[in-house]
Amino acid sequence: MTDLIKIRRLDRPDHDQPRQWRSPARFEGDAAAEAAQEAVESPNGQRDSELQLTRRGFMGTAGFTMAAAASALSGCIRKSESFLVPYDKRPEDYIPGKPVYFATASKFGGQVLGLLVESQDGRPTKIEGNPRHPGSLGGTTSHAQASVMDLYDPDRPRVPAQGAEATTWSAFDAWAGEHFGGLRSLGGKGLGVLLEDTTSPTLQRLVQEFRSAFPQAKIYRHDLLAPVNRDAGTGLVGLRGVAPRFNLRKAEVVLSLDADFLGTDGETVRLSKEFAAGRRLNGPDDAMNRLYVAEPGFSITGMSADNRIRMKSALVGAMLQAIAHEVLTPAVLAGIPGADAVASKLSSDGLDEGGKKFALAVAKDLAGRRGRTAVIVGERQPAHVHALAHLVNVALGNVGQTVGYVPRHELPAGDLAQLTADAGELNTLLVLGGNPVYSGGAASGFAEAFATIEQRIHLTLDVNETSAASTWTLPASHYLESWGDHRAADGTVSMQQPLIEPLFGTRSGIELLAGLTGGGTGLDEVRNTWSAGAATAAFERSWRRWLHEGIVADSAATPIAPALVSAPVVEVAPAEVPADGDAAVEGDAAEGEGAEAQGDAPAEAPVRPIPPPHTYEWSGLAGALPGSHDVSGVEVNFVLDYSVLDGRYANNPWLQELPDPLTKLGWDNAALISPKMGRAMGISARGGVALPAEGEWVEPDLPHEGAETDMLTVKVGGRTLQVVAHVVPGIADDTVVLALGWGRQTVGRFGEGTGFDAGALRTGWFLAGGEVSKASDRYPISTSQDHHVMVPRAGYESRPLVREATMARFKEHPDFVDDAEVLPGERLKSLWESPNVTTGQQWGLSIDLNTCTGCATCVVACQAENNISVVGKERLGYGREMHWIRIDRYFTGESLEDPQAVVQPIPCMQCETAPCEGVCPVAATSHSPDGLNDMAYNRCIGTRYCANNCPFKVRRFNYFAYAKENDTANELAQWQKNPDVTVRFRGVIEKCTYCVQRINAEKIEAKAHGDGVVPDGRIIPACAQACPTDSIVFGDIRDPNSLVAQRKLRPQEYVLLSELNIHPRTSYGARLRNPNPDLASHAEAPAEAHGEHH
Amino acid sequence: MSPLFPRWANLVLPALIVLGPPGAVTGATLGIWYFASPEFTDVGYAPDQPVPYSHKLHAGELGIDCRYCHNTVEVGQRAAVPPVDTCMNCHKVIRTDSELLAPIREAAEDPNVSVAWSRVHLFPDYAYFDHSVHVAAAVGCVTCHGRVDQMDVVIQQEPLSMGWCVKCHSDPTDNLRPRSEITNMGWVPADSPDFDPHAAARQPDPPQHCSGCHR
Repeated sequence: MTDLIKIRRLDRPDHDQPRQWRSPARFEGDAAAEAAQEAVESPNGQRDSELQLTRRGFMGTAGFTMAAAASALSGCIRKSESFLVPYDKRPEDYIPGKPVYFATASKFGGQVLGLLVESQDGRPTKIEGNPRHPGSLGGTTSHAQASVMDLYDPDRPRVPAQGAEATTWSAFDAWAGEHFGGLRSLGGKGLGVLLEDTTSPTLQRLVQEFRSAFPQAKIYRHDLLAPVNRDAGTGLVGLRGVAPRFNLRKAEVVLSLDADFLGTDGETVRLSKEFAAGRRLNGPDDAMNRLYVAEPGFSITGMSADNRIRMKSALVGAMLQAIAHEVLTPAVLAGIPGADAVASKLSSDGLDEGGKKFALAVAKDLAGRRGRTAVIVGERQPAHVHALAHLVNVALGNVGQTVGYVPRHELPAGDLAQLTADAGELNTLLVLGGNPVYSGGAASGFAEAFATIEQRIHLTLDVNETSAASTWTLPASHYLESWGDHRAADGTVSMQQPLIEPLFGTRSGIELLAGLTGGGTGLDEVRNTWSAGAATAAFERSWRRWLHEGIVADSAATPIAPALVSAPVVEVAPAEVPADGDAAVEGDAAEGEGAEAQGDAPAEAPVRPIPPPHTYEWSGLAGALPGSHDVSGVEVNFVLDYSVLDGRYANNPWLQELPDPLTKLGWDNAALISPKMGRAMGISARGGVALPAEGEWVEPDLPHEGAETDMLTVKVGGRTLQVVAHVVPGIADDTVVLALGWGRQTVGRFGEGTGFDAGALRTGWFLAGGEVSKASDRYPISTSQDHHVMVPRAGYESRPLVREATMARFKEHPDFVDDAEVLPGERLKSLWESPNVTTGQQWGLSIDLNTCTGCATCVVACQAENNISVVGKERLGYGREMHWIRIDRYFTGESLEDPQAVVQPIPCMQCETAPCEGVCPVAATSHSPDGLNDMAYNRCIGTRYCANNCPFKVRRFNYFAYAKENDTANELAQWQKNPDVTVRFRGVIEKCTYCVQRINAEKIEAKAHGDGVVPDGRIIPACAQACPTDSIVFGDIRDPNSLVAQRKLRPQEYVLLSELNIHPRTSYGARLRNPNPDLASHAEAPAEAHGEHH
Repeated sequence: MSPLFPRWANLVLPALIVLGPPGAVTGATLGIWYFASPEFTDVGYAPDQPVPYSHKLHAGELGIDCRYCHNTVEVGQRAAVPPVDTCMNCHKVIRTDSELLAPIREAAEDPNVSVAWSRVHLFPDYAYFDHSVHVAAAVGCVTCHGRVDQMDVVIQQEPLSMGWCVKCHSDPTDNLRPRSEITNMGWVPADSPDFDPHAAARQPDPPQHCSGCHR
């Protein structure tokens, strides 16, 4: 026992791990932390929705007799009669009860993902990535994972409505026949079509056909996720119709300028995979890439950075100019004709000393690695920053190496501002999807202009502000219900194959457009696009293969190699692009021939223009570069939200409840401000915890009930918004970061009353000259950042949970994780006898913290796979979220204002000598011979002793009948349930099982049809399968050749809380950083400089 | 006047007071133990079916193998009630005008009509059973389902309770048989004197931990 006491008294251990903390309150000290904890853990007065009783009330009135009588009676009756209803004609090869997977594809955010969707007896239940698809590579995003819930959205419009009056499709068809017939005779004058950013060749073809039927019709596009600035940037350097595409596998150094390429910006899944591949180390001898990030907020890309600098968005362009100034030396410029004019305008003015130092160090690092770096600019930055990045990438020799160009297939279309201006001339506007009235923002004036158009027809998947303002609301089909096709960023085409008939007789955009121009069904239209009308036997063969594999073979576009004016200066990799100047044209033809030989290509490549030869032009850029940067006042930034994006997922309960990767807020957004700014305005954090001056501590004003946070008044451009404040370390000073997509006015039941509509202020992605003041109101928010803490009280603060080191330290000391052990191995003692772990297959998990980005895709994947309930905002605030895997986010370092961040996914550790098992009075949780910590729900009596005794806090309790509540709130939700996982009921504990249903399925397969041993890689838990960075690996740890065993043998692998000697089966690969030695790293900052915190 | 009650009657009240409560508790315990057990509530359950299909006729007298209809038993978790098409394979030509078969014919003709069979063997939702692995381990159909080939109306023969499952899972030897005899309802060990369940290279390894069946 002395040993245990010794640990408790450790004030500051000897290890060299940096200090990690979860929130400003915890940064300040133990008292604040405990107070915050107290606030979380003592909720009162919650009511059970079913019994309409508080928990205490129930205990008082019900008592033992009722419960005993009920249980005795219910036992004596056989369950009521149930029925088995077999197929009349069972589909061939269909095995009842066995899930079937279908390949399909859809667009999520700014990217197309190929998917394999699980169908359980005809119901789509779970989304997985398609490993063959170049955009997915087997990974997904949280939005893709949650999108199945949108299919079962109870608030979907189900029938067409004229105004507020429900009607039928035949009524619409009759009306449309007459109305569009009239328009046709006028040549389509006064007709407009508003599209979202579309990746569907069939839809694009139909829009073209629509245009030939209505020659004077106007086409518009509005989509906050469309790469508008990026396209403008490529246009500025003479590359219209072309999109840059990064290959981070070859990049040793990546510079992200406000680009959240791991989170919301473009092809995040593929880029995450490639970026992670450069950070997955088997040992200190492997090379690791380096990521520089300059950004105003704290994106998940910023959390992954090796060197991050926080700055106003307006200065990000200045940062690139300063870097370009260094990179574009006269020698380099000599090889880039026409770039001198640009170079002469560059300087490092506008940056402060820290910024200049950063720019110098980055430029030096980039210049020294010709062709092995990448400069990525975020969509939030204006066109000239994108354009300058093209020049810098050319100068660094990256083009053809880490930066390629592909054709961008997009129809010419006007933007929302154009549409607003044209509204007076339009009498009919057909809005295909989207929600422009909301996402256009109040400042765009679109809503008013929209209302003046006589006929407003909106095809929509959800009820929203636009449909409320339309004269016709047409219910749209979900992508799991309709045929379509999608072109990924590299040009690869995938078919969108439906898994189920439309639930409510809805139509897709393709079907609606085809109907207006006299076309066929969705399936016919998609097939026509690819068969060119001739359904030959060869086409049928290819078609079936495309559907089966989920991609059209060899449909990727040939990369474009733009020429500099005096060609050939660009160095291109021979493997990627033929050296010939006419590469694009020739490549296309060659590809067509080769593919046809395989009988696999479309008979005639449709909507696929041969790209003209491309040449960089720098003259436009020189004129576009601004001389100064507006940093006046407070800068108001708008970002896409990790949960709801631009608001399109606002009615998805899984995404609503999903804690934000940075703030851990659920069911709300907030104005994110830096601690310095918060302190200056006297803002207090959640629970009334005041933000003290550094080094000083004020007793917090608790208790929890109605724990509310101050609100801010944000004024910019003559508009005002009241929004709740949330203090987050790492946000640039004098900057407010607002996530879009919240505060929806017309929305389904789950999105109602959540968050604040930042779009009301938006006229650009960032606005200078804002004013921020503390408002008198307060508002309750729920954040999980202080939930499930593994540092429960004073003295444990130093537990090294996320072990981190720089690459330099790792090389010099490969066993650095062992130095962070609190107790030496020989002093470890166990209360329990170890189970036998030397026979059979023994399951284990390894999570690589070095590649995890904290994107939370695993959390949603787990929720979908394991029937995990949603609890709502209030209970989330109490710490009662049911997620089986959570992502802990720590700030790290000694600076409250500018820390780095680390993330750590926490599933059940499946301890070999599990503390939870010994304390269960009914043996509801016990150990399996293959190393799982089993949970038998039906045995559980709800004492919660196990949850109490779990040092990792992974056990979740059903305080109320959450599953029943969820199914009542959404009558369609049970369609999504996984029949292989028990739906838990009130009063039982649940937790991560390593997806035991998947383990059992493979074990049964191996026992019934194999040699009884499950081959490595067959069992993939939902979290590991969904992960876009392959950070999670599962397998048999006894098999030395298994991937998980090899990961566990790496020197940087460690287990959490090893001083408890409970042998967790989940282990972690330490977080490494590869900072530029010329820049002071946070991890290396001298500790004594911040001594006052200790 | 003789006393109304004999002398020993004086002992009745104290005896009741002393023995009554324990007796009542014991009685209630034993009563619930038995009457609330699947042994009592479930064994013998034989609901009426929409079509009086006789396993005795089809499997017993005609000798149709179980797997002709329950064809997913070796590959799936469910043995699966056969689709109507399977019935019609024969009944297209046999007894085409039988009144009793009217629901089958109707379902075969009209895609909107199905046959709803009453479930006889009901497992709780929190227990997961897989037919394929039991068949692969060479447990015969008769072990759990009884002599279906002798039943006109299918009746639940075994309790399907957890204790009953675990008994076999702790030592399955007695319930194993040659693979060729899985569907042979009448097989007795004496029929295969050479069969030794311990001789197989890979012995069945039935799970006895919670997540083997509960997940």
